[in-house]
Amino acid sequence: MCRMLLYKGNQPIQLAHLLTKPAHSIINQSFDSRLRLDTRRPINGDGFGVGWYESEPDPELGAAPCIFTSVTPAWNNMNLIRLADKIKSPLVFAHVRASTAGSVSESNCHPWQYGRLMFMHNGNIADFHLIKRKVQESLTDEIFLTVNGNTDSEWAFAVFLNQLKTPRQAEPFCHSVLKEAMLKTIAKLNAWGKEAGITEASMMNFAVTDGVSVVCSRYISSRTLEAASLYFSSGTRFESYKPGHYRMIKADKREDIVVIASEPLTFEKADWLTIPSNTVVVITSKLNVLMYPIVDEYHNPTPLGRAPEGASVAVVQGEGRGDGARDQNHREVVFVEDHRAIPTVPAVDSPRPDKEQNALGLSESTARDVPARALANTAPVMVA
Amino acid sequence: MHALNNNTSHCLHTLTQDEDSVLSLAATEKLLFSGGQGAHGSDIHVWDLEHFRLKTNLKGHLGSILCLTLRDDGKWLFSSSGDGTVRVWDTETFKCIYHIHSSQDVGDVFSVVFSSSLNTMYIGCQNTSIQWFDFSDARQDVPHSPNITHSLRNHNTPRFFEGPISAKKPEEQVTRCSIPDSSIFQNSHFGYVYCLLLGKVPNVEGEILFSGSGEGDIKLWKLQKGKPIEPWKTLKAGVDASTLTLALHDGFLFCGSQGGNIKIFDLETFQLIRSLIAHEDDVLALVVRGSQVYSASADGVVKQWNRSFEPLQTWNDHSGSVLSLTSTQNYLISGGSDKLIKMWSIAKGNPQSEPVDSAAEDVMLYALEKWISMPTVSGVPAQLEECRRGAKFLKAVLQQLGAESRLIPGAPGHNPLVYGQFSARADNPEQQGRPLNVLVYGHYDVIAADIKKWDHPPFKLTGKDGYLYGRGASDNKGPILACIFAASELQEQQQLDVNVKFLIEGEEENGSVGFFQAVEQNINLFEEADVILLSNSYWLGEDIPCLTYGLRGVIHSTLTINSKNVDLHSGVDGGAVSEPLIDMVKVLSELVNPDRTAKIPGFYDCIRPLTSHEDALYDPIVEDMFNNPSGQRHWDPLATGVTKEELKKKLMARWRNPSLTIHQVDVSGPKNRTVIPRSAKASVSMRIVPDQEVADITKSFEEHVRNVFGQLDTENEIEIDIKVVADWWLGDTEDRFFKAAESAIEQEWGQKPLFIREGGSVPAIRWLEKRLKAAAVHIPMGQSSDQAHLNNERIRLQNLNSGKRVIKSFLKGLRTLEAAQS
Repeated sequence: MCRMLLYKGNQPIQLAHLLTKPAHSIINQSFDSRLRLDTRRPINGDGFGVGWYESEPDPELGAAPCIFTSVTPAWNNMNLIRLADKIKSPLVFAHVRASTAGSVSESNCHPWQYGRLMFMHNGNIADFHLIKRKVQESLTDEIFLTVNGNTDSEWAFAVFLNQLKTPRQAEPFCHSVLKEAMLKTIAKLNAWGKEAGITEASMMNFAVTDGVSVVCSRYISSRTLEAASLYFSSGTRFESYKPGHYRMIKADKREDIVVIASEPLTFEKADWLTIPSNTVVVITSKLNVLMYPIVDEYHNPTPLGRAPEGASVAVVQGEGRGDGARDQNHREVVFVEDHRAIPTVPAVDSPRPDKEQNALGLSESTARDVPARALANTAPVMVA
Repeated sequence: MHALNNNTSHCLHTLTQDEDSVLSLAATEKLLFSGGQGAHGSDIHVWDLEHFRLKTNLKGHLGSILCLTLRDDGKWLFSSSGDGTVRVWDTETFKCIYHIHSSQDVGDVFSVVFSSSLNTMYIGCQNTSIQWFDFSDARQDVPHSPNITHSLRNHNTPRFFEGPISAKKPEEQVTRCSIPDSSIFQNSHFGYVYCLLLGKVPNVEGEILFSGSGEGDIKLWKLQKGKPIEPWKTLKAGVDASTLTLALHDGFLFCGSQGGNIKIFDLETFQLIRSLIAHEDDVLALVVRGSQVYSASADGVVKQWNRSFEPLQTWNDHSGSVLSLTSTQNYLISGGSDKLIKMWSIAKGNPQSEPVDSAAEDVMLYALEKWISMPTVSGVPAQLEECRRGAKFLKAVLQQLGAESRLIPGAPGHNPLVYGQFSARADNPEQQGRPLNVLVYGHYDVIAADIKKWDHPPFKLTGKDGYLYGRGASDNKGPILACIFAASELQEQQQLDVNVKFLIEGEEENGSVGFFQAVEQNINLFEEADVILLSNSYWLGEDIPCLTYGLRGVIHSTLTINSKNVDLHSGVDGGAVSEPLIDMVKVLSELVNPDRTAKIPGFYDCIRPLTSHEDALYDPIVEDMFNNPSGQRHWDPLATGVTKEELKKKLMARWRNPSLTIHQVDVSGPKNRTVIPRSAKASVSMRIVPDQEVADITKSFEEHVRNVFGQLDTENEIEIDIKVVADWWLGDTEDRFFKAAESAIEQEWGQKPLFIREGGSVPAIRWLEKRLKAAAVHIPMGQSSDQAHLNNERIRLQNLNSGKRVIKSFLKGLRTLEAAQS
């Protein structure tokens, strides 16, 4: 089990502010992680990696990130400390490793890169050896051949790449494309696991970026267990008010900085917000943070409810969302009764307690008796 | 000339919110609330809109104040914060009455709205939920509710945050409430819920909740008391562009977006009818006022839009982003990342709620603004035209306010005087005989200002933090206008029972050149004056109103000692000639005794003896100085360790005793250390007090100097040039006019004024008293920190408005005095 951290901001940040200086930086997390689920080994000493993108696009350097990895423990790597002092970037992934699968080698250190994409994983795919062959068979040759290491995480990245039509494209991806690929990756891994009869839950906190937007999941293939910890913080400035102590400043209600981390980097309570289990978080190119619950067989609606019947949603003609394009000539919005976007929750094949099933058809007077469950979830994401 | 036609929008006042961006604003008719950012607790600042002063701070939140909203009746203020909680404040007692948190970890609470009809509050949260709280069933929370498990913000998470977080002290009298799970709509949007709005939709019953979010969608929710909000419609406003603010006007929904667009939906058809490219950066606030919509943006601009969605006006005064907007009375109020709150004058939205007084104050400020913009610096030939403009402007103001007015020519090449008269109402049934005549004396000329040393342009009235800055604001344009508006308002209210005449000169700062002749030539206008009123000095400190009953006079002299020689070389001629500067030093050394008293024979003979009454007037002043040492301008009595008795002596030395000062000594020639100058010159002045006669003092000073000089063994000659600038003035504090002023001040400020004297001089006052045989009353309006004649001259708005009311009640009080007399 590992620790991961990602930063996206309007302005480049000196890596030291994320990696080395905060009292609870990812480096300190590597020997003093307090929120790990696996309490047997509180040390993340099996190497680390940090990847970042250029502050200014440079055609000669290309759009791919630079990644620095090492198998030495992060806390005594002088190179890391020197680099962190001198590098600034608007988009940073960092990872410290406690190996659960795969040997200790630099090729097994997160994050990995493919084209302009960068990927890391905090968690493990349960009994991965039982599905490894299935995973490999699913991949195109090109993607199969890019895998250098032998970790479940890197193979998960390969599965992710395989969900993209053009994984090596030079242009940035639309964040919804990355999100869909992420959801498909989770669904595929779940399906193979099920086929192989694996019952242990997989922890799939994935993060992927194309250097423009970021998609990150907090996920566990279980309805009852909590996923590996993941927090986020957003604001206008990440400020050090005394050595080692940072806080997020909100000078504005918009976001100039978003940080997602396995553990909070600061001791400021109000800075950090838990990402709910089985959620995919998107940081858009404009730094909007979007959170989509992942609705599949492991979706646990508690304290969520279900969608009320008869709600109508708009279907937009011309200015569709999700494709990143805006058609100046079509600004009309037409509203129709449409139930497609609100699937009936729970999904057909998902087992649910009878009590909640009944809540669907309750009359208003009875609904008041179970108010905690009578809540709606307007448009959850369905995993294909 | 339409001096008082006020129909353009301009920034009336600027308030500084210490160190914080102004993230949120809300206003009642009388109070403005502003919220800032702060990592370790943020205050809500409460400003008094009458005087633009900070009234109090509401303490409690631990994070940025992201949204402020008021209940319809203005009695409750809701604040939502980055600390994940909402507080409800009583706007009369300024106490927090509810502290509401969610059972979840909601993150920032970006928005809060309150429906009076449902008695329910709705909040939009960072964790994409909308939550609500019905105050009908608000009850005290059980501490450490078992529901609360994952929240990092509101409750101690056992392991992670132990140590650095100190436990918060429980607040008294605050009802802590938690939002039950049943009042949470999880994932109401995919993005942060940045904004909420309550309003009506055409043809639909009941209130609708509108929500805007980080993914750009606007959702409409149906509300029912005691039931969860019900999703009704979704309006698509864009792709990857947050909807940051919403406003409703005339059946249209305005949505301010990331990037700078304002999307407009028609709520009859739910169509997107327009997408205005309104700003160059994110639109952060929208507000509707009357038939106008105002928008504020991160590009630093505030814009006004008309019904056809065309921009009418643009304001660029903020540096940085404009983060918040609100409106009240006839102000649009904007808050920015520059930590400033700016108040803009706009057309009144609701003509019914129009307090008479505040409307008039606005015109007064408008007139002051126009007048300050004219650099009426006297004694500078280049500014003669500006002075004339200033005089004509004053005449126009007087005329428009219902006075007769005309200019009186000054000395050739000098500035004119302005005469004006508000006449007592003719049909006063109580009137017996002629009405009293009050002559207001003042000046419209000002001292020059060095623009580089001012924080704001000196000839542009700048309202900041309750003060009005500008050359002449306090000395003397502000107080003059307060007097004029006082008389005008009384006339308008049919309560003016005295004639109020104005004699406003333009050479006061230049020694009142030509004043006496001009008054003599028009003496028929002033002859019948019963009392002379002026307001041309300052309070002793900052907080206690004062009445000035005495001014010292001043006599300036220039002594010149000349030799018959040219400038000489000290090596060649030193020791062989009489040196003018040595003679000067000897003469000057004989002017003052070692104890600082003047050595002029008879100088102290005529000093009016100190009566016990006068002595008693010093006691409250000394008392105040001891109780409030920080408010003193010149010295800190406690730091210097003086006793009360010593302090009283020092005050008397400043105010009631004469003094002699040597200002400068100068020599001819190159001022080289080898040159014997052929001529030396010294400036000496004497401040004189009752009952020193100017003629006697002048005579004995000249005799003394000649006498001393005569005793020197010298070949040089002395010239003595004496210029009487001003006679002393002493009012009678027992006089009926002073009593009237005293009670007018007490009525306005709720405390008796301190009776003070001033060490400085106003040339015309004693002369007018003598010439018109009328007593003068001096009612200072400004505070000791007004910086008259210095950089950043200012007057506190409260002092100006209160000053006007003091003059009003003084003038009203005179009628009863006259009745009592007869």
